[in-house]
Amino acid sequence: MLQKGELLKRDSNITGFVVIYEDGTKIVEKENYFSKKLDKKCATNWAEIDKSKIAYLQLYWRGKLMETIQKSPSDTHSNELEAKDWFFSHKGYMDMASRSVKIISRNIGYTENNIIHITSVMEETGEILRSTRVVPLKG
Amino acid sequence: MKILVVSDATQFALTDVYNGYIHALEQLQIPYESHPYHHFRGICSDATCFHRIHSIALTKQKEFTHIMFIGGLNVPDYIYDSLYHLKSIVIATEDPHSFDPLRERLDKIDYYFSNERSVGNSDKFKNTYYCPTAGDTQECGRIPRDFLDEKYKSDILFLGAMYPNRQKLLESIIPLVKEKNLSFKICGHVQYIPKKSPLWEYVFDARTIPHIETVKYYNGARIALNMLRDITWNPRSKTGKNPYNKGKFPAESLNPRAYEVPLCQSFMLLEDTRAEAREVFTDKEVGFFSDEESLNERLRYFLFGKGLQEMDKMIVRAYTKVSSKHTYLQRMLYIKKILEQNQS
Repeated sequence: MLQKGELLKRDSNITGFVVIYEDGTKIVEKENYFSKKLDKKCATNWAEIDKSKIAYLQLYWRGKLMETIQKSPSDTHSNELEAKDWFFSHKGYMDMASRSVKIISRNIGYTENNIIHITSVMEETGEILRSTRVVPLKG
Repeated sequence: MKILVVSDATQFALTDVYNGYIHALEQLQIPYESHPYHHFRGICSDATCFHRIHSIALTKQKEFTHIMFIGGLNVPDYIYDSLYHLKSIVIATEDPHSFDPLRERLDKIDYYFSNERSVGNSDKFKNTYYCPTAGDTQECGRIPRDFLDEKYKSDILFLGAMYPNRQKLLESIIPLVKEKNLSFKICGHVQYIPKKSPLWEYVFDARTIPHIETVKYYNGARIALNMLRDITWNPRSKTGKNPYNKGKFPAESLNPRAYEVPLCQSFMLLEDTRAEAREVFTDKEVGFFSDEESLNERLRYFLFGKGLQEMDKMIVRAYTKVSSKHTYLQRMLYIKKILEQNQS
């Protein structure tokens, strides 16, 4: 019986994000996911994630943990992160030959003082690139 | 608020500072119109550039509230005198050695933002503020290693003008470079190096390095050296002494390189002879040296000693600090706050 927070064997070599909820539940990134919430096929399952429950957001590359962002204050951020502060995305393109999405990098991050701090892992090389972006102002 | 942004048409106006402020204005959605006159160097005279600015500011009278000069050393008096309907802002891009020429004109300028703390925080001037130099996250960043040409890679990099104090420090590391067969590259303004100096062997790229290539050199370096310039020395005077620096304002602040190298996620060895070095950064973020001896000791520690394991974490800490606290976005937020406080 799989315990809460335990990764399945098939996920041991994962490339992608892993979300750990405050109750210890782990959610592993799934690509080409049919979202029941949105009732459509999505690039990943991130629409299914309840951001208000996230305690840790991790980024794995070929089974290796590359980056962890935690909800509570740490070296990188001084305030506790709220649901709206979490960030995850992919950078990729549609390969017309294979008719599939080719991912270039996976990105996780957090927002503090209107700046999104992003950690990207290059899909091919596993290289870590860090960047920032300003939260677009409304209106 | 709508700002007419002008880069000083002189060689002192720094492209990256100008771009940094333009990006900050865009991000903050502050309306502006930009006039990058540093691009016109060698094509138009300074006079032509400033006549044009004068015309724009006069013909669009109700459009602008402020005129902001990046650099500001060569702005003619008539601009400040006649554009009384606009508040003038000067953002200095130079060390205090160039402050003296502007000091006499401070009463004409509404807001003078000095990048030198001892000047900006001085009680002598009412309209002077301290706005440190910074880095721009859109101009500086990590370049994937696959995209970086071999020519930009090195073990030790020095990029900048060859001031005498820097020559002395760099000459001291030559024995280490030879002993360990390191790739040591000197790039930038090397014309100040004496003809017989052994440093010529390591001069790799002798020109004004465009900012995009500066970022590539920083990215390709295992260690980027940051030596602060000697403000008492001036290459344009026959005696070599700086006629502008009367020694009233000590140099306390850091150069743009101190923020650009961490934003490129490269490792920086920073000279700690100015007060701000150890106030802005800690030894958990960058390596420090004070003289030839400590420079050599730190290079050995980080290239061949225990420091090798610490470098990656230090790079991340320095990057996090600079990207969250020391970008032109933060500087523009501060400037905006000052301008709004004084709005009548």
